[in-house]
Amino acid sequence: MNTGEAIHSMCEGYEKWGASPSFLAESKTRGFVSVSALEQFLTSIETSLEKSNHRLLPFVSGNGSTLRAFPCAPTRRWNSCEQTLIASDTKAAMCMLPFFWQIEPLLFAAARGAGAPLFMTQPDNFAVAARAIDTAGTNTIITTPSTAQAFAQDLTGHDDTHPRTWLLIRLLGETVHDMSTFASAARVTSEIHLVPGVPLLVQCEHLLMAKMDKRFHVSEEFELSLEDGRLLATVRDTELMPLFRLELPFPLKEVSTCQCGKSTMTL
Amino acid sequence: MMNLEQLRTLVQENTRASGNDFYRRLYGLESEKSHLEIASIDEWRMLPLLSKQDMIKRSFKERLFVPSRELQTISITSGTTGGPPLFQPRSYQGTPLESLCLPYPEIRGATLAGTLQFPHEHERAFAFLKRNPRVIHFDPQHIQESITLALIAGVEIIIAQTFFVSAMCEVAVKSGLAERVQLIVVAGETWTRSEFLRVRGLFKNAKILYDYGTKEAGTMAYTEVLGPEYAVVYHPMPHVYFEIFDSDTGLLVTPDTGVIGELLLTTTVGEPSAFPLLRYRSGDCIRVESVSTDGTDFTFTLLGRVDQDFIKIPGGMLRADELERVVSKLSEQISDRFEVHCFEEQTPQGLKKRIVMHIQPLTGAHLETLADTIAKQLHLGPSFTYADGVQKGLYLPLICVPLTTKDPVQKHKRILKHW
Repeated sequence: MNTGEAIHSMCEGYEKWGASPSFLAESKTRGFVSVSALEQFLTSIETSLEKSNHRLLPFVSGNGSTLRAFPCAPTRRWNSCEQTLIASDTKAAMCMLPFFWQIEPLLFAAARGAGAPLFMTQPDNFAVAARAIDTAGTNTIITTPSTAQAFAQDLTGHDDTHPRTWLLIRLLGETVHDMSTFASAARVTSEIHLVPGVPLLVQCEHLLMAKMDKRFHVSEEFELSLEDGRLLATVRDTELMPLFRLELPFPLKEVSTCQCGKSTMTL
Repeated sequence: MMNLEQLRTLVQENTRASGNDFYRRLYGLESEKSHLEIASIDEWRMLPLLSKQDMIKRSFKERLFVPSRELQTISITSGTTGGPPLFQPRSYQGTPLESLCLPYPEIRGATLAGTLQFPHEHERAFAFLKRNPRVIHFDPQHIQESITLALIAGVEIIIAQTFFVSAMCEVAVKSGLAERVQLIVVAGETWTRSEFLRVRGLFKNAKILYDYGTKEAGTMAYTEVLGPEYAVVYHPMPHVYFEIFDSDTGLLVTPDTGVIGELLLTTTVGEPSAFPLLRYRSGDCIRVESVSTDGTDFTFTLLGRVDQDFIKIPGGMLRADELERVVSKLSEQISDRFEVHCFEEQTPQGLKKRIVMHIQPLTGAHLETLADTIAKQLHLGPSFTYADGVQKGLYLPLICVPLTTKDPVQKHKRILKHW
């Protein structure tokens, strides 16, 4: 697909999700959609979302000041999470992500796919989370890097058992954390999400085993293209969510090919 | 509620030699017995009770009645009196019983959920009921964000713990959500009447009802839509069996209007159940409001926790140990048995707390004089007595009435809430 065709597909995609003619005209002229333009698009379709059956996820702008609803198909699954849970032989998964991320149904489906029960707790409830590891067989924790860091320190401080696997979810624009705190854990895998539950960058088993914590693969849901120095992300299945030629607000370099066969990117 | 045949099957299935031995051990079943058979309701009533401690003593794995891969979720109940939390396994809930009591099918909007259930369980339940399955998970740590999403999602129903609804009021009103909400189902600790009226006033288009459940067992009873008289009377659902237990005497109590006791519950959560609850001590103190003509069913109000040893009132805390101290100082005039009932009363200055103390005068002591003496000696804080609060108009004067009981050996040292 050449650039002209890609821009045409982008407009078709956004139109299908209810974009206004002015948004489509602007996007066509620009040839891509910036994060702020996406935010405007989400604002403009808000009234139509009420009647739709889409799952609504919170889209938080870069500075965290505004929140928009990001729609995605109710049938959409969080496959990378399911793969992580399976690969890490998860007996029980514990979610320590903010509840307002609306991630529970996606995570529950992933956990079912891995044959593991799900336990949810507030991110700051370290006492209960520690007991869940001890007594309920929870061996995989899904959380943010900052919560993981604080919780791991708390576990060490109380001489409590650490989980076997951490799945760390970082939102677009968040800073990279030093993962050395988790050195004792057998497995630490990270994902960078465009919206909670929508991973753009993921890690495979090979990256994880090699402890290459700053290297990622592009999620199977997206394709990336580099045009005029801009990195653009487009969802492969246009039915799943409205994300076409989104300009990523961070640089991403292709550094090598992984043993799994996919390109390895670094931030 | 369940009938004898259902209870019999429940006991049979959960005491099979080939299955989990939890109840076999609890019931002291001999190893050669293939299962336990009960023939009558009297035999059912002989079965030992199940407590949270019984469950905590056995590991999570030892409590599984289904293969671990069939588990869907894990829920948690907080430990009682500082005890450890209990992690409870849950399996697939084929029929979403917790939502069958939901009235007003014409309300087609989405739901804002902050309950013991997981959001996906609500989604499944609403889909099963052919209602709008969209559910927004309420986050008490991010109220503004939750309400913003709820507005966009078209929320018209709130299902949440009472304290979550209280906490979201301000944002819900400011954002316009409160006006859109048509149905609120609340669970957990009962609101005071004044709080109920406040919430009702803010969510002026919403019908409000309660459901009763525990983290261990899910929803088991529900109320009708509440009117301004605020009578929170629960009706048991068909999949449960309730009994009443006097935790002081250790005896079962026959359900009769006015009877007070701890609720024993029998229910299976999930199909098959990851852990069936048989004659489980809920820790909830109830009062029977009405009994069906055949005596098998009853409605009830919640009076608080059995081990409730304090209650917050304006100006401080009414504590059981402080009440005991005051009562023991008056041992020449009253016995050591008492019950404290807390109400709310409408006054020209608005709703105020009314404390009624049931005591047993030993001599001809005048009840009004005793009330006055107790109020002056009863501390709600280090330097604040009950009488001080009355003087400041924080609540109504203490009333003492004679303690009446059918059981002369029954102990009475408790605080009961009536709001």
